[in-house]
Amino acid sequence: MILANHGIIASSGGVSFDADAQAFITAAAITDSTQQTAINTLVTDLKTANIWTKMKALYPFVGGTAAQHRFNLKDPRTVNAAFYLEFFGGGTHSANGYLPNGTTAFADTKLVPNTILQLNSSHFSYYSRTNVSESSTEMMVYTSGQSIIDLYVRFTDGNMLSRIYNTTTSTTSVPSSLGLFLMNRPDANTIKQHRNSDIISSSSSTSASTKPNINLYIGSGNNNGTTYGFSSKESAFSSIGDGLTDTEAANFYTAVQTYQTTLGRQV
Amino acid sequence: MKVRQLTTQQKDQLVGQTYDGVQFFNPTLDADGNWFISNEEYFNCTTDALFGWNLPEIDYNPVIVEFPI
Repeated sequence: MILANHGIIASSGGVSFDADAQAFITAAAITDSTQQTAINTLVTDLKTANIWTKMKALYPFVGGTAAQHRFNLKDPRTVNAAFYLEFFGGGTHSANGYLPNGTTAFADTKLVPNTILQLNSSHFSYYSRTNVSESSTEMMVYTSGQSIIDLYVRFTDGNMLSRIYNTTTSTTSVPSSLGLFLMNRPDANTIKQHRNSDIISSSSSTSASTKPNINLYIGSGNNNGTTYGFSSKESAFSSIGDGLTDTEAANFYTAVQTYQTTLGRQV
Repeated sequence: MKVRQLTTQQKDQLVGQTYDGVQFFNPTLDADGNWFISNEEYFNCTTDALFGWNLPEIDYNPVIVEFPI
């Protein structure tokens, strides 16, 4: 092992990777060299942009199987505390990512916003490879008496809908449901929606005083413990973490898109 | 879209079971009060959870919910 700009570099099989990338590659049994390189570049790009430490969960959906898609790149342990995904229903897993079926499938992140996330600084993202407008939510959690987190990449009316700890829905027309959709609360009084490299909306919105206190789902919503709004949009990446500055959000998109391009599944 | 209908007893048996060793069944209630699983769960089942079951195929009729909450 050697020291480098991004920390300790692990050497395996004659190829040196960032230690965090190597930990994920080992845990998720990623053997394909292109996928290994893509993961390593993603980690180093996020570290170079000073975004890595803002992430709580990164789901790169690489490897092609459900077992491999369960792993959180940020903490690739196989325990609930690492936000190790648990898949339910009829999802399809392939080299392109995780495709929930729109009827029964979702992923339980085991991440409880109330205990993990900051009220005045949070983001959630979903990289969609499916172009469809539907009455589904791609990431959502709500508990009665608490505030809500929800992301509708492209609703039936053609709008991206989102909320982070507020009651007013951000609503912005989007031309398709393809790409990286990011909802972002960079501070206590601002909500932003991003699609790929663009900030598509920014509005004043004060955080509520509470956060949801049950698990956040991907591919459907968790409405007081009941699934809600199953999605049929294939996800090639999803993230949960602190709020991002505009520059960080732009760098985040560049890193994710580079990752997808390396894997040949960019949209 | 088609799904596979379950009896209430079958639903209870599938809760907490995996169909491929990794992914869990998610029996869901439709607008007609029928429990169902998806065809993906039905056809991709590699465990013995559905052994001997010939589940009828029915139309998917989801519970209509208000969007967004």
